[in-house]
Amino acid sequence: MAQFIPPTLASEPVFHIGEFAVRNTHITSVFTLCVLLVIALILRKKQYQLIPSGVQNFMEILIGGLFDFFDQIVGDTEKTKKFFPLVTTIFLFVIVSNWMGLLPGFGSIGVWEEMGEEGMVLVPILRSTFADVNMTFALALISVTACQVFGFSMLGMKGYGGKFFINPLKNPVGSFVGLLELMSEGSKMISFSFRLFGNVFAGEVLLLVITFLVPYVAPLPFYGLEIFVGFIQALVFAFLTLVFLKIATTAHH
Amino acid sequence: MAKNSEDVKKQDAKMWSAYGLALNLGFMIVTPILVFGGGGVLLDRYLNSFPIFIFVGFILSMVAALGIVYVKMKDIVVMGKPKKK
Repeated sequence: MAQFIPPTLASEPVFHIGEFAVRNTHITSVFTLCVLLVIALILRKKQYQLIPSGVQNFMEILIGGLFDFFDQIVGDTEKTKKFFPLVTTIFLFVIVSNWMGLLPGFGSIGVWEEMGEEGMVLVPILRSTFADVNMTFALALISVTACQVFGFSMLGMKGYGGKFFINPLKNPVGSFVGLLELMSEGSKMISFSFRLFGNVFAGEVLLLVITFLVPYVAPLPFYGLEIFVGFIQALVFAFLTLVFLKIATTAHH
Repeated sequence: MAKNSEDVKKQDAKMWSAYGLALNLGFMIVTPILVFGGGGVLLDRYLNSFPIFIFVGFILSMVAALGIVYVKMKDIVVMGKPKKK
């Protein structure tokens, strides 16, 4: 009977450029960027048509729908216009990455490498981007940093910094609340990175187990489930970024 | 009519913010436990004073978690209120 090899928690290095280890999740993220870039170039080549058709039609529905949805969340069209490029980029990057991870060859095509005590281990060349906590943490860092940048730029140094740093001699309770606010900024990073990583990694393991147990037909519903999970997780990441951006740019009363 | 639609938009935004808070609530409770609880464990190891700082960290993390949840809930409520003229 074939041996079941569970996916490792960390991504695996496929090759090295000098000292820099290029990992399988890194290769997938570059592929994802290429896919997005090709779509953008196709749209640019076709030029903007007053009566849309084909790809432009699809993109207008997608972008228009996302803008309306985000505007509903923010409740202020001017702010939505400022946040939209960042949040939509995050959404598109996450959803394309998640769905690309379901394509045949991801996690299954690789090279056999000697791994010490474990013996020969298959190192997949391609692996779902967000099945690596480094990637989710990097995206979380971008999202949380963007919150700080937008907060400072829209409320000013005093307005935004005043949420966290309050003179304890003047207002001891407010000072403690400020520290709590600062701590909740840290919780955002944890929530962003572990939620996405947990869902994508769990999906990867689930698909592998089902495929190992019943290779034909049985994994199909689970692939459907993973397509749905990939969409929901992208939406949740974008949605939470938007909510935090909104909260960061709202003055304290 | 326009004012009414603006109010509805604000109300929707408030609801979405509440969803965002609810999605993050668990992590908001976990973070102080990690910070204060972990800090307590490390201090106890360093000073060889088990279980004093673990206990102090536990109490602090409870207070901080409650505080964070209270502050965030207040933010959501304030956000939905119409501006005073």
